[in-house]
Amino acid sequence: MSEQYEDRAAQDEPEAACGAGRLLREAREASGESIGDIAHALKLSVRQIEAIEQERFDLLPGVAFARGFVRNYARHLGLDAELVVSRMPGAGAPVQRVELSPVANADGTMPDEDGERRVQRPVRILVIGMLLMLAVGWYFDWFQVDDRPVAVRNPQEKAPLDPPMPPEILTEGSGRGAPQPATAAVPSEPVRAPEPSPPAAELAVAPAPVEADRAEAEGRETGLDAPGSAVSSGPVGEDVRAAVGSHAGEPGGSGAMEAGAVAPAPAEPPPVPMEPTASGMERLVFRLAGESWIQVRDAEGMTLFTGVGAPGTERVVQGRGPFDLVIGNASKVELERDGVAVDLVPHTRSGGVARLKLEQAGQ
Amino acid sequence: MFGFLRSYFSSDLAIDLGTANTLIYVRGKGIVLDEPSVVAIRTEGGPNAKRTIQAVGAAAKQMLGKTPGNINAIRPMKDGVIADFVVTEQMIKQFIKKVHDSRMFSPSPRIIICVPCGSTQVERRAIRDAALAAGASQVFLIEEPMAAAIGAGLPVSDATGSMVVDVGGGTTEVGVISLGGMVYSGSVRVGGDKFDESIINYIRRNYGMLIGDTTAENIKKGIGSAFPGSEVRELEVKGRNLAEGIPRSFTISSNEILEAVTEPLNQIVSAVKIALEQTPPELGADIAERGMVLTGGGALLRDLDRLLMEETGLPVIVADEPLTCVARGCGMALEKMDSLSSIFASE
Repeated sequence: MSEQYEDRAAQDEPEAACGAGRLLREAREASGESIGDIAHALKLSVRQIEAIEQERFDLLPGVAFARGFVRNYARHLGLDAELVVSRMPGAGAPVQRVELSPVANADGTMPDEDGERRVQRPVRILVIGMLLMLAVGWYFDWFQVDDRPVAVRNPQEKAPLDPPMPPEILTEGSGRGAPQPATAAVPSEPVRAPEPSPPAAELAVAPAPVEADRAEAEGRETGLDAPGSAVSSGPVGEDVRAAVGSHAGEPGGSGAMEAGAVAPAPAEPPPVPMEPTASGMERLVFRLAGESWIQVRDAEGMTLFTGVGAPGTERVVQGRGPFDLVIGNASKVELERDGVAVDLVPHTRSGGVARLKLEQAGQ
Repeated sequence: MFGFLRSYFSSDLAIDLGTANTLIYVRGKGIVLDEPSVVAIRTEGGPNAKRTIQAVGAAAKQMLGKTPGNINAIRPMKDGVIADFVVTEQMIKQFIKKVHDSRMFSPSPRIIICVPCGSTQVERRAIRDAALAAGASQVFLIEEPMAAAIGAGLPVSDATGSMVVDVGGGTTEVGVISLGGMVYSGSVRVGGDKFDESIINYIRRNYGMLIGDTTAENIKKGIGSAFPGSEVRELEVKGRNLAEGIPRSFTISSNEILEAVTEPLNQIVSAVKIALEQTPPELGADIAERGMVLTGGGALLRDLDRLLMEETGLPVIVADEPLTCVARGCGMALEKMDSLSSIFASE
């Protein structure tokens, strides 16, 4: 601090001639007061008053105190205090920055009162980072080891394991009484027939037993007429059902079994009879005597089928109940649910549209 | 939400939340706001009845004592601490808005706010909570004597004793500081407001006249004195005569005001003497050499330094710009807040 003052004093040497110290000294002498009088009045020591008059501000405790002493001295003598302070060296300089932290020449952290050392910040960050990585890795299964045996599966083996099950199936069976050999012989959706998944196999059951009976009575073996592309829907479906036994007691089963003697298409392996995964599956059969628009939604609100059916056709829809049905031209439609006829008349409104909800079986 | 973004776009602030005035120091800019701590609240009637903030700061102070029934001019701080939490929160919010130019984000600054050293834990928590509710992202507290000493330019980090007496609007804080920390701190709930109150009481008692707070403050600033001087000054004052109920004017002298404020002045002198008694002898020697420094608006009371000088026998100096010392000290602490921790107060 003393160096600071010396520097400033050197810079302001010309000005120091009429500086604060000289002003104060002249005023004191004019008033006839001694230095001791001033020191007594201002509660300062004689040494400090002399330092002010000689402008040796480095002998005073600091800038703030020096300015305060000069201001008090000037006021005591009846001078303009601010004018005298402005004559001090470095008066116009910006406010000196104060050092806020005491001198330190050591570093380190003391242990806590219980004797445990505090964990240093980098270590803490490292530990937190590792824990974070572990958490993220656990979440994204980075550390999961696949202990299942690796096996090469051919597509045919893999196929039955495929879980997705189409929620609906549409097959067009032969029209009632309408001679449609091609339609009757060829499954309406041959694309679905090769799907070996159990539900698909079951869904492939298109014709009602009545249809199968009729086909038998007419001496037509629908499967034989199939162009080798797919299994005849009826027999295969009945075959699966017989194996599963899920639809026991269904009328016409024996006829279907006979029809089921038809061999499947040579390219396709016979569908593996499996326990149906969808135990709550139900089957709706729509027989259309006239053109009609049908919409079927399942329990989850998913549309299982929507479309227009031609007269004389039959639509089979499978899914989980309860079903929401909208049937246009309902008077021309017969509905069966798992072989049980559903009367649409009570649900038919003006315009011939029937809206009904079929509750789940057993409810 | 987006607090980190808002704090990124906000400047750190240091607030001298005083009983009489609030000063705000913005990092890198200096003191940008100096307003009275007054809020005027208007109560609206009708179908959309609600309370709205009519004015804050100087505009609200002009309304003090002159408001109609639907406007209430409030000084939410009393004795250095919060008297009305909600109004204080709104006042801080309004002041923060004033000093922030950005309109895109509502400001969420880090704030250093000073508290009286004699404030209780609850009072400190209230100040912190008010600042947080006003939008601060973080709040740090600093004791007023420490901020005043820093602002006055005292060597607070040196191994020498520095004594500071901060006479504010609501409290007088006395602190002895060495090595960057408070060695002794004391606080009395006497300040500029008590002087005004004493002047009002004196005039009522001796003149039978009733004057308002603002008039009392003007008398104090005009002819107030703490020590009998050679010059006696007079001032014409207008007030309501209690007996007649009619406004009258009368003349009062500086000696009478000195008599009026003697009691609160004696409390301040006592606080200083107690501090000197409690100061360790080594630091006491330093203080005897250097004296004590007066800061705060009360330091502007004529001859207060002389009174303390005569009472203690020690040199007493008034700091440069004593009104802004605390705010400047807070500002200096703000500039170094990331590297300093010892100067901040705990709750």
